[in-house]
Amino acid sequence: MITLNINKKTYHVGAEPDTPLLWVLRDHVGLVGTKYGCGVAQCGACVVHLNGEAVRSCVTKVSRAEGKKVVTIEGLSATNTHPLQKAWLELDVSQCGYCQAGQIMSAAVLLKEKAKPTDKDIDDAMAGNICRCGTYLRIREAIHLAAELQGKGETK
Amino acid sequence: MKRAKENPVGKNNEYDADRYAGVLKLVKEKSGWNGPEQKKFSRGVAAYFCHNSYAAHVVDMTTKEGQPYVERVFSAIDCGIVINPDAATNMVQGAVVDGIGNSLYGGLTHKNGAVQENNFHTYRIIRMHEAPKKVEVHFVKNDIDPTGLGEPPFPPVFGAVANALYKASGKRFYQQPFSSPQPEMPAV
Ligand code: FES
Ligand code: FES
Repeated sequence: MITLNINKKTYHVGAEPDTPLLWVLRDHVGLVGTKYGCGVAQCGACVVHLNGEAVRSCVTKVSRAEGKKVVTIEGLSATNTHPLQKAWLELDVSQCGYCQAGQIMSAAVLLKEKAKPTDKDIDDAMAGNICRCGTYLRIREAIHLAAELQGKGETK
Repeated sequence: MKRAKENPVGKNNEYDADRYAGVLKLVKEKSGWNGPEQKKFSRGVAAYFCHNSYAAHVVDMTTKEGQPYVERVFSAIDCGIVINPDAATNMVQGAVVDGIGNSLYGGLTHKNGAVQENNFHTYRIIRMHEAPKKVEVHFVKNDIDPTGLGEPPFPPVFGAVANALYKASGKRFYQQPFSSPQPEMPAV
């Protein structure tokens, strides 16, 4: 039995310690906002926060998450009003949407570290997230917009 | 134009030569073709017809870290009435971004009937820093019933990128992906 803190809730799951965190999130806990894209740390669809840092849950053993705070897209904001979520809605970023949970989770760490990210910051922070639908232009714009909203104090 | 109308390319092509020329005219105007911008970039243009829609792009290429980089794109689309302009624009932008990635590095190879590139470590998909900063999309306004938009803006990206590469290097690129070694052209 492994005890996890996910989105401020405690879960006890019967999983082997080397089970990828992504499997535990989706199949044991039922939080399916986090997506499986490649399983080999290439696409970023599975990004979640571990003690505030972006990790790829497909290559993160669940044992590594024990005693840490896991945040998934479902826990980013209790009311779905994180500046990034507002900006994503405002600019209609998504197409198929498959990559977007991972994109937003990567961008959330960027915004925490850099209140006003430059295009170069965005290039660097988002290079690990693939979007097959090609929504990169809008993702970039939405990150800039979210930074603005965040600056105005429009936080969750 | 007269010739295009009398002798359409392909036996079963039912394209309307005026609408085909229409997207080229629109993209010419919007991109300022032959204007001062022409000097700043290696520019390429291509147009396409499928799913009863017409698409044309002008791609503006520079280099970034020694690699060809499409910095900006102008698109003109005729797909009849556009119901949701913002979503339609997003779709065209996506087709352009993905088209650039596929044209430059989206190669698939086979061995014993199996695809060799079995995940994203070997099958390269375009990423944020490789995508253009701007894709300006213009729709022809008319009252024709809506037609396809998922596919039509995608293929002409390849032609436009190939033409921009020709402008930049003086070499013709016929083999996709264009980052792969290009075969020698047979003597004409
Ligand atoms: S599923 Fe984890 S990086 Fe692709
Ligand atoms: S929106 Fe479809 S993969 Fe990003």
